[in-house]
Amino acid sequence: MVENQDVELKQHISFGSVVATIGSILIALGISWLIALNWAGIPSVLKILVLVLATAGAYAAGVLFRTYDYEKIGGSLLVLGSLLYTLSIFLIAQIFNLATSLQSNAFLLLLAWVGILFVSYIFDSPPSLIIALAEFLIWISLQYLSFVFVGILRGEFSIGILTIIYLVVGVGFYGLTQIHKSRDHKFAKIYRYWTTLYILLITYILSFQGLLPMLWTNGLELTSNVLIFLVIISIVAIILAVIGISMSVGKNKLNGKEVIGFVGLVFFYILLIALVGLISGEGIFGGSISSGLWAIWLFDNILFILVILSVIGYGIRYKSVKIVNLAIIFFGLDIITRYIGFVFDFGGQIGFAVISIIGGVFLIVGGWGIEKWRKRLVEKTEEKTKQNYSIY
Amino acid sequence: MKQKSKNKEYLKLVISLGVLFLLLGGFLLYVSTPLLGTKKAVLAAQSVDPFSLVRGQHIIIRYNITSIPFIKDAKVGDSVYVSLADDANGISRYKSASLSEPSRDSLFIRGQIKYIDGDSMIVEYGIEQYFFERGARFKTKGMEVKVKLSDDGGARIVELLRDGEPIKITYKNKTLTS
Repeated sequence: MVENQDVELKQHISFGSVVATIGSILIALGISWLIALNWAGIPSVLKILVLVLATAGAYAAGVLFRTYDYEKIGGSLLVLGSLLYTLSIFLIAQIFNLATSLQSNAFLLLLAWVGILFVSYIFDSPPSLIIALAEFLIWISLQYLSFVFVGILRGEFSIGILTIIYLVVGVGFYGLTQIHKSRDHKFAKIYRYWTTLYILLITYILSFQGLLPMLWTNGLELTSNVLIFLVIISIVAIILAVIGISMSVGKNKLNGKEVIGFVGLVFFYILLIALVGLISGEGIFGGSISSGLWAIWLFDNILFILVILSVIGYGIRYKSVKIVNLAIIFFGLDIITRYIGFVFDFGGQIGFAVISIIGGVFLIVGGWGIEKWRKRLVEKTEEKTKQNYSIY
Repeated sequence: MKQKSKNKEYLKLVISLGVLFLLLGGFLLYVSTPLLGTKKAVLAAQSVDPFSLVRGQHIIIRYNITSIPFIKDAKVGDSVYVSLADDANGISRYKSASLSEPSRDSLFIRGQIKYIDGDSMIVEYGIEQYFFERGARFKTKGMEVKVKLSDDGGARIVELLRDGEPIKITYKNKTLTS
């Protein structure tokens, strides 16, 4: 009886605090809106002070909630703090009229994700880590694009380097997954998810017939900036991977098969990205597509499906519903992209209409099938989670 | 939560805020260094279409010193130092340019070569944008830009001028539905 009352009281307190939090967020939103409306008239020093106080306030409130055992609300406020910190950097850049170039934005994002990454470790906050990793993904893409910006204007831009960068980052994240797994750290799951995301992202980029000939543009010269950037992130990624794999293997939390599988996949990707150089600069518009391009494109798409299936297997092995769902999303994305591609390839009004109808029927049936498949896989994964057996 | 754990959480807060504000402070110092300098220049300018999806409403400014004569051995990405000399109206005009830093006593601005086209090159100085809020109204014709310069030629915008006077930016009146 007393226990029930305690639970009820706890629920009331919890509900009350949720309402109070929503109220305080609304008040904060209202005040910030009023500030925004009068932003022009506020002196720069005061603007910066407002930003700093808002960021500090969100973090302090988050910590207070955590100390009173409201982990979820506290976690949400820490996320708010991370977002306000990012916002502060961009608003300070605006106050000082900093450049809007890709390099300038990349620099601002670098400052943001480094700070948030640090805080996510201090507070052991997975949502903050996710924000840091999302900003990292945008940063790494922007940083590369800023190095080759002049090349983009001249049409000498290489997507090949970008895919290699994503691959290298994927390797680094795999290393971080293993480091955290060996230490039973809760961030292991997040790094595993992001490793998977990068691997699927590379495969998706490589599945486009139109992008393959552009992967390596003819006469491409690597600038010293790009080369140094690539070398630095490669060294960091390899070191992380070697340390992580040895730590996990040393604690019997990683088997040889998975390591061989991962190293094999990376080697395969490097080979594939290099092979695409053979069809560099080939035109795909105007009807004639070389047999080489067709072969590589078909091979890429078969690989994509195989990677998706492997990721599903990986998700089930690690009891991760999120990884299984991610693989299914990319599978759906692949079907839709290929469908649109076929519509373009077999153009003409009647052709378009026929393919649209046939494709539409396939998509509806396929969508129903995918959903059924997804539910079955998720159930299977959850079943394994309930059995609570330990798999590393 | 036990008192000991609470204290640990507060310590984490202090460390986190300390690091974040150290990063923000360093950034602030970096962006405001030219404003702490004593050198000033007024540059003739004209505004081009504003647009930035990420960074908000602003105007893009093109200066008379945006396009300067080509310097031998200059490459895209190189830093370039443009020496300035004031004309009779107090506007700082192009005097000469060099790939090496001039004497720190002289008035010069540092830029980066963005494009080379025959015997001229396009240079950016990091002051090509000026931000303002939604609903702003001001004339950009005949605009000049007052900048502050650090010892190494780094520049930051102080204000927009016309005929030597600060341009007054008026904002649309705020209503309940603004």
